[in-house]
Amino acid sequence: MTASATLALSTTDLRKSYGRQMALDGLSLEVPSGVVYGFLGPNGAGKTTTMRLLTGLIRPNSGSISLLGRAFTGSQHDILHDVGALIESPSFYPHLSARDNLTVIGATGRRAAKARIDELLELVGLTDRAGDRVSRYSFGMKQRLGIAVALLNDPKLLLLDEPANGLDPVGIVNLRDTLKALAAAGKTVFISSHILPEVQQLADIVGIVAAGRLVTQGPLEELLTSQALIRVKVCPEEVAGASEVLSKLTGGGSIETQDPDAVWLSARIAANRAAEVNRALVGAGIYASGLEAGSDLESLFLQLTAPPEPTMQPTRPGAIPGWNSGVES
Amino acid sequence: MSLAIVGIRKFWTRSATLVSILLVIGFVVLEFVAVGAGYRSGGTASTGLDKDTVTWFLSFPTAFDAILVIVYEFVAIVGLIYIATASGSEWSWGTLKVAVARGESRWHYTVSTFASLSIILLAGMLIAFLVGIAAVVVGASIAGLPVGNPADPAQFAQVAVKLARCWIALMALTSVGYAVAMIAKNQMAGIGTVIVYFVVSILSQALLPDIIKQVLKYQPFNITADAIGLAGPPTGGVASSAAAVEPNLALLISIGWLVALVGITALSVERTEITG
Repeated sequence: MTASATLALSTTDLRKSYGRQMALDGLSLEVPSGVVYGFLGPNGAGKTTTMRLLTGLIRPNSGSISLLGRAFTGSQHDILHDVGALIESPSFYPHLSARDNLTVIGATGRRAAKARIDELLELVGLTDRAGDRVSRYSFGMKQRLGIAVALLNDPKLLLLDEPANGLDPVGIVNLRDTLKALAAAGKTVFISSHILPEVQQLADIVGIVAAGRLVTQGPLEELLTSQALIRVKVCPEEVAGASEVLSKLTGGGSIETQDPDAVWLSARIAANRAAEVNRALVGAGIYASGLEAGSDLESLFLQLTAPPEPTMQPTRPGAIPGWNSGVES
Repeated sequence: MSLAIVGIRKFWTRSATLVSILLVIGFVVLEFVAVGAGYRSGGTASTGLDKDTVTWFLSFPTAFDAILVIVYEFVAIVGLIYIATASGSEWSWGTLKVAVARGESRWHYTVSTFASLSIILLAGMLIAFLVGIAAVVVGASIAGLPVGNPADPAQFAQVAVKLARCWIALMALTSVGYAVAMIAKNQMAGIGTVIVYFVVSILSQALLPDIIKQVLKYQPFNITADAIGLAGPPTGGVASSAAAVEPNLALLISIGWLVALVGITALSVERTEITG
C-alpha cells in the first residue's frame, strides 16, 4: 500500500490567487483516513478557498489534490460522490421544506434514497419541522439541515466549514458526538472552525494555516505537548533555585513576568509532568505559590498565526484597541 | 428521480411561478373581454378594429391563432423575466454550489435546469391557452358575435402543431434570459437585459433603416415570432399578416438559437469559478 492510499485527502503545493491577491501559497496538507482533522486559521488565511478547491468549485493555479486516493482536478465528479461538504453558509431553496430540499438536493450527484432522508432528519433533530419551509428556519436549523445535506451520501470524507456556526449548545454536543461516531466508523472528517475549544475536543490532527501557507500540521497531542508550558510562581529570592530545578527538567527556564511579590517562571514541559515539577521544587526546598500546567489550542493558534509585526495602532488612553485578525490586505 | 423532474417540482412550487401564470392569464382574459366589450359598446369605432378583425379574434377556428398570438406575446415577456429570476436564484441561493460539490456535472445541471423551466413554460402556455379559449367564448358572448366551435376535432391536429411551434419559439426566446442570468450569475442582470432587449427590439422595428432590419429579423425576439407560423388578422391587430421569415426556416433558426444559447450557458457554467 502506498502512502497516498492511506490518506483520505492530500494537497501538494496548492496555489490559488484571485487577481493579484494570493489566497493559497503552496499549501500541502496530509489528512489520514479515519481521523478528525481540524483545519484552523485566521480570517483570510485561505480555509474557505481550500474547501472550494477540494469540492471542485474553483480550480487551482498550480499544485495537486488527491481525494480518497485518487487525483482530483475538479472534473472527476464521481470522486465527489463519496465526499460530503458543507461550505460557507448552508444553501437551500427557501420555498421548499427541509424534506423537499433533501429530496431535490439528493437528486444531484449520487442519488440519495428516501429512507436516508428520513434517517438524517431524525439525526439532526428536524423530523418535527421537516415539513416547514426552510425560509422559516433559524440559522441554527439551517445549519443542521446543511449537515444533513453533507451526510446524504454516507460519505467517506466529510468537509465541514464552520459546522458549529449558529448551533445551540445541545446542537454542538450532538454535532460533536456525530462527528466522533463517524470517525470511529472509519470516515474522515475535515473540519474548519474558529471555535478552538470545540476543535480541541474533536480533532485528532490539526493543520494551521496563515496567509495561505501551512504553519504547522500534526497530531493535536504532539503539537500541544511541543508547545506546552509549565508555569511556576515563586518568591523573588527563590528565582535562581527554581530556575536551576526547571533547567534540569527541560534545559532552561525563563522569567516570563515579574511583579513586586513573586516571579512567574515558565518552561517547556509537558502538562502531565506537573507533579514531577512540583516534587522537584519541593525537593530543592522551594514551595511554589502557583503552578499552571498545559497548553491549549487557542494559545498555540495565537502563537503560530501572530503576524510578524504588530499592526495595532497606538491608541489614546481609554480607547478600544483595534482587532489584529491577521487578515491579508 | 431524474434531475429535470425534481427541477420541475422545485420550480413549480415557487410563488413566482404562480404569480407569472396568473399574470399571463389576466392579460389574456383582459384582451379578449376588452375586444368583446369594446365592440359591443361602440362597434368598430370603439375598438379601432374592423368587424372582420374582431371576428378573427372572437370566432373559432381563427380565434385559435388569436389566442396563440396573445399567449405568445405575454408568455414571452413574463416568461423571459421568470426564467431569468428562477435561474439566477440558483446562484444567489447557492444551490448550484451545493450540486457541484455533490459531484453533479455542471453541464448536466445547467441543461436539466433549463429543461425543467421549459416544462414549466409549457404548462404555463397551455393553461393560458385553455383560459384563452374560455375568454374568447366570453368575449364573443359580450360582443354578440357567433363564437364558432372551439371543440371542432378537425382543428385539433393543426392547433397542436401550432402549440408545439409556439413552445419551441418560447423556449428559444426565454433561453436569452436564462443565458444572461446564468452567465452573469445574477437574476437582476438577466431581468434588466430582458427588459432592455424587449424595448430595443420594439424600437428597432420603428427607427432603424431597412438594411439593419433585414439583419435584426434573425435575432431571437423577431425570429421566434415568425416561427409559430400564425395567420394574422385580416387588417391591423397584434400579429403581422406576413411573417418576415418563412415559418419553417424561422423555426429552424429558433432551434439554432435555443441550442446555441443553452450550450453557451452550459459551457460558461462549466468553466466559471463558484465563489459565492
